[in-house]
Amino acid sequence: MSVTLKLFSSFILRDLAKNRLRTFLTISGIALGVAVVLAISLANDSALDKFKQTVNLISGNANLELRPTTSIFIDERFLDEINWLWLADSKFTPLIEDNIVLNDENNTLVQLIGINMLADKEFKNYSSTSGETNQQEEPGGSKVVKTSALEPDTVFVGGRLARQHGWHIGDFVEVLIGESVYRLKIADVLSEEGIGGAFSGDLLVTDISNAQKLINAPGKITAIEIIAPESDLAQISEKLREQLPPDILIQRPEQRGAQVEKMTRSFEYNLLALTFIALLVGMFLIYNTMTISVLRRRPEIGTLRALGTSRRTIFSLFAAEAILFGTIGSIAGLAVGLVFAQGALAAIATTFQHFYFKQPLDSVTYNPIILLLAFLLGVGATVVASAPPAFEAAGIQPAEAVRRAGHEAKVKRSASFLAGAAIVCLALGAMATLAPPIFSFPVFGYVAAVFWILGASMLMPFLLDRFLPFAAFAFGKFSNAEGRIAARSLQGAIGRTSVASASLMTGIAMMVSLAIMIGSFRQTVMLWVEQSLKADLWIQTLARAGGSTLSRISPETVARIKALPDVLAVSTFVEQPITYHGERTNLAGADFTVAANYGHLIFTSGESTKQVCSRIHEDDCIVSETFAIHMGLKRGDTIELPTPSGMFKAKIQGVYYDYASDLGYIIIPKPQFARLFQDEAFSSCAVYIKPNIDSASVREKILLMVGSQSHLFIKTTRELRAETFRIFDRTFSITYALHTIAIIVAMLAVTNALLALTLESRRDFGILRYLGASASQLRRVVLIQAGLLGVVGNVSGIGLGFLLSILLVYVINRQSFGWTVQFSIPYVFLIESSILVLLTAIFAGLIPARLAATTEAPSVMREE
Amino acid sequence: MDELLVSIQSVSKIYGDHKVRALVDINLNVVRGEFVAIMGRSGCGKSTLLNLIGGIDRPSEGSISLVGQKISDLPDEKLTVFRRSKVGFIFQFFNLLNTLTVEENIALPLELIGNEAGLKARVKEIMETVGIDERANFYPAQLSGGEMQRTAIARALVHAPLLVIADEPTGNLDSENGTAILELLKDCCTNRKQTIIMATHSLEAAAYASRIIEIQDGHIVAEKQQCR
Repeated sequence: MSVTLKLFSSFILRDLAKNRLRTFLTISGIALGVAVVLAISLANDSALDKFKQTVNLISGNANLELRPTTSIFIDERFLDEINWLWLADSKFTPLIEDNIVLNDENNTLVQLIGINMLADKEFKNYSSTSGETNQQEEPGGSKVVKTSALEPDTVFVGGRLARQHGWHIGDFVEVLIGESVYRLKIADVLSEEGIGGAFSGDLLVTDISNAQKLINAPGKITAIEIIAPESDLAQISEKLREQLPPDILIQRPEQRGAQVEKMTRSFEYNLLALTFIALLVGMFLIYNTMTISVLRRRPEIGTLRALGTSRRTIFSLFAAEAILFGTIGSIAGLAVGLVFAQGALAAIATTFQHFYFKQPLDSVTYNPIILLLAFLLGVGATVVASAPPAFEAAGIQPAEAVRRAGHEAKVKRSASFLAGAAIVCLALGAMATLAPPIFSFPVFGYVAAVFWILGASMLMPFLLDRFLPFAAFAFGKFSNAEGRIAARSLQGAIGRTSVASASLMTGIAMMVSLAIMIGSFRQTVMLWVEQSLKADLWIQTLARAGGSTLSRISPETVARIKALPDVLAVSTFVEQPITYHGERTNLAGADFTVAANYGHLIFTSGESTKQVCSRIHEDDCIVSETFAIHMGLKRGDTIELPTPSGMFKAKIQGVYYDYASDLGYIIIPKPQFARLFQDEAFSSCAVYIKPNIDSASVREKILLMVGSQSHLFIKTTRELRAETFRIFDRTFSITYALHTIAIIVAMLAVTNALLALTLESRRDFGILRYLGASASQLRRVVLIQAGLLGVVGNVSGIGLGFLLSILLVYVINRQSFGWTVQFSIPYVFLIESSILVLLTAIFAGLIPARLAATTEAPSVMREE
Repeated sequence: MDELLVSIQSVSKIYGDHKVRALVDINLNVVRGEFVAIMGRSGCGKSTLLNLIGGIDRPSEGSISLVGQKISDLPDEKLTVFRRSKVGFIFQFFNLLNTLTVEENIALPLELIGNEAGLKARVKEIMETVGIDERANFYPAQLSGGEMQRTAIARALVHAPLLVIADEPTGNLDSENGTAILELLKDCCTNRKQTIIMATHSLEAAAYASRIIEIQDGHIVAEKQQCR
C-alpha cells in the first residue's frame, strides 16, 4: 500500500470516524443538495418525457406531420390536395386530438383521439385487453379491433381510465362537449401497447368521423400524418410547403417535443436554478467542514510536512477526503432524490397541466443520464468547494508544527483585504445585472447572484471583527461572563466563525429573497386581480373549467344571458393557442366596445381601458406585457399573424399587464377573430349586473334559464379571485419546499461549525472547569455562541436577501417571464422567520452545548 | 578530521510586517557526531535557529548548508525530500499524529522515504530501544508525557537521520523521564555517529552536550566546548 493510501486511512479516515457526528452532518448536507437537484431534474424530465412518449405513440410510424399554427383545425379538403403523395410512395392519414372532460365527479380531463381505424394499421398499432390487435393478419386482408368502434357514439377507452372508473365493454361514458353531455358506448378497452399507452392511458379513441361529430367539427381534422421514404423527406416537405397555406406547419413529429421544451424552458430552468441554492448552501457546508478540519489539524499537517510529506501528498489526502464526502453524499442524495422526485412531479404537474400541456403526470421516469449527472454534480460541487481548503492544507509550512493560532491571526489580518475583494465582487455583480438574457434565460442575473453571495461572504470576517468585540463589550457591561467568553471565543476563531456565518447568511438570504419575490408577485397579482376583475360573474363551460381549453359557449347562450333584465352588459372573450415566430402564445378575440365601458385592464402606458379600447379598430390589437417583452414589441408596432384566412396584420394599440400566462396574449376584436377563424362562439364571458342586485341570485337565474342541458360553470368574482390564488400558491409550493431545504442545509452548517468550535475549545472549557465554571455555565457559553451566529447570519442574511430579491424581481423574473412585479416586503413573514431561524440556530447548538457541559477537565488537560 | 555537517553563514531571520529580527548574522559550524545544546531565554531565537537548520523554515538572509548541500536555496519539493531522509525532529509538544498508533507514528518516516524493506523489524527495534514497545498499538491520547516523547524520539531516529533536531525535548517531562531521554540522545551521538542539535533552557540537559551555544536577542553571545 502506498504511503498516501496509508496516510489516507490513518490520518483522514480515522479522523472522520472519530468525528462521526460532523461527518454525518456534512454528508447529509451534500445528500440534501444532490437530492433536490435530482428530484426537480427528474420531475422536469419526466414531464417532457411523458409528452414525447405520447407524441411517439400517437404519431406511430409517421415521419412527417402537418399541423396548423394559428388555428386548431385543418380543413379535411387538404387530404384531397395532397393525394400526389401516393405517387411519391408515401402514405397519409388524418388525425384528431382534443382535450375533453368526463361528466364524472371530478370532471376528469382526458384526451380524445380520432383516427382512421380502417386504414391506420401502417401508422399506429393498438390492441385491446381482450388480446385483439390491429396488427393481426388474416387471410384476405388486415383485421381491425372490433369494427363496432366505427359505429356512432362508440369509443375505445384507455386501460387506466377503464380501471379507475370500473368500466367494461358495453358500459357508457359521459363526456362534456361545449355546454352539453354526450353518452358514448365502450366498444373495447385498450391495452398499454401502442396508442393505448399514450396520455398514460387516460384517453378515448374513436374513428375520425365519430370524433368530428363529437367535438362538433365536421370536415375538420387537427393533423395529417405522413409516412414518406426517408430519402425523399426533404423534397416532399418542400413541395408541401409550396402547396399548403403558411399557417400549416410541416415538421417531423418529434419536433413537437422540442417546441414544448422551448415553451417550458423558462419555468424549468428557473426551477432548476432554485434547486442549486440547496446545493450552493451544501457547498458552503463542505467548505466549512474542510476548512475547519484543515485549521484544526494545522499542527499535525505541519508535523507531516516537517517529517518530509510533500505538498502534493497533503493536497491528495484532502482532495481524496472531498471525493469520499462527495461520493457518499451523492449516493445518499440519489437515494433521497428518488423519493423526493415523486413529490416534486406532483408539485409541478399542476403548473405544467395548467399552463403548458394536458398530459397526465403521475409517475417519474428514472433517466439514468440524469442520475449520473446528479451524482457527478454532487461530487464535482464537493471537490470545487473543497479545493480552497485542500490548497490551504498543501500550503501549510512545516514550521507551523511548532506555531499555534497562526492562521486565525492571518484571517484577521486579511479581513480588510477580503472586504476590498468583496466590494469588487459586489460591483461585478451589479454590472452583470445590466446584461441582457441569453435565449430568454437570465444567465447574467444568476451570475450576479453568485458574485453577490461571494462578495457578502468575503465581507464576513470584516463584519465579525467589528461586531464580536462590541458583543463582548456589551455582555461585559451586563456582567455576563458566559456571554463575554462566547463572543471572545468566536472572535479568536474568526476564520471558522466567518465560514459558519456565511453559510447561514446564504441560506437565510435565499429564503428572504424568495419570500420577497413570491410576496411581491402575490401582492402584484392581488392588485391586478382587484383592479382587473370587476365583473360580477364569470362564465365558461364546465368542460373548459375542467381543462378542455377549446370548449365554447354558444352565441345563443350568450345572447340569452345578455337579454336577462338584471344584466347590464356581457363582455365576451374567445382564445386559442397559436404559434408566433416559432413561440407558443395565445390569440384571443374580445368585445372592445364593452371593454371600453366596463373593462379595467391596466396598460403599461398608464392610459385607461376606455382610452385604449375606444381607438381600437378592426385591424388593431392589444398585447400582454409578457408577449411584448419576449417579442421585443411596443405600442405602434405591427404584427403579422398567419390565419386560416390568410395573413392578418394588426397594429398594437396598447400593452397591458397580465399575469394569467407567461406565454402571453394577443387580443384582436371579436368580429375579426370570428371572420378569420370562422369561430362565432366564446371561451368565456364576464357578466356585469345592474346595481344593488345580488350576483348569486343572477347566477341562479342564468343556470335556471340555460337548463340542465347546458353545462355552464359560473363563478362570482370572489370565487374567481380565490381560485386565482389557489393556483398561484400551488404553483409556488415547490419553491417554498426548496428554500426550506436550503435552510435545513444551512442549519447543518451551523451545527457543524459549533461542534468544531466546541471541540476546539475543550481546553478552554477544561480550564474554566478548574476555575469553578459549572456544567450549565459551559452549556450557556455554547448556546450564546449559537445565538450570536444566528444573529449575525440573520442580519447579514436579511441584508443580502434584500439585494437578491431586487435581482429576482427586476432582472431574473422580468428576463425569464416578462412580468413587471411591484416590490413588496412581507414584514410579518420576515419577523416570524427571523425568530424561527434564531431559535433553530440555538437548537443547533444543543448537541455542542451538551458536549461542552460534559467536559472532564483532568482528561482534557492531560490530552493537551 | 571531523566531517562538517552543518554550515551556517551570516544567517538572519526577520518576521512579519513589523520586521522583528529573530536572528541576526548567525555563523555556526557543526560537525558530524556532535551534540550541540543551544541555550537562551524564551524568545531569544533558539527555536527559529533549529527550524532553519532543519529546513522547516527559510532564512531571510545568509545561507545554510547541510552535508554540503545548500538547503536555503532548495525548492520546496527538493527540500522536502532532503529533510525526509537527512533530518529527524523532536518537538517540545511531541507533535504526534493523534489518529495514528505509536507503531504507525514511528513507521511514518520510513514509509515516506519508501523504505518498506525490513520496516517492521526496524520499528520494533527502535521501539525496544526507547522502551515503548509495550505501547505499540496505543494512540497518543492513551500515553503519558514520557511515553509520548519516547515515541517522538523513536520517530525521529527510526530512519537513521544524520541530524536530529530536538526542541526542548525534556521541557514537558519529569526529571526521571527527562534523564532517560537525554541518555538516549547522547547514545545516538556516541554509538550511532548521529548529530544532535538541541534547544533547551535546562543546564542539566545542556550538560549532556559536547558544545553549548548561548543566544541572546538573536545573536550568538557565547560558545562553550564541553568534555564528551
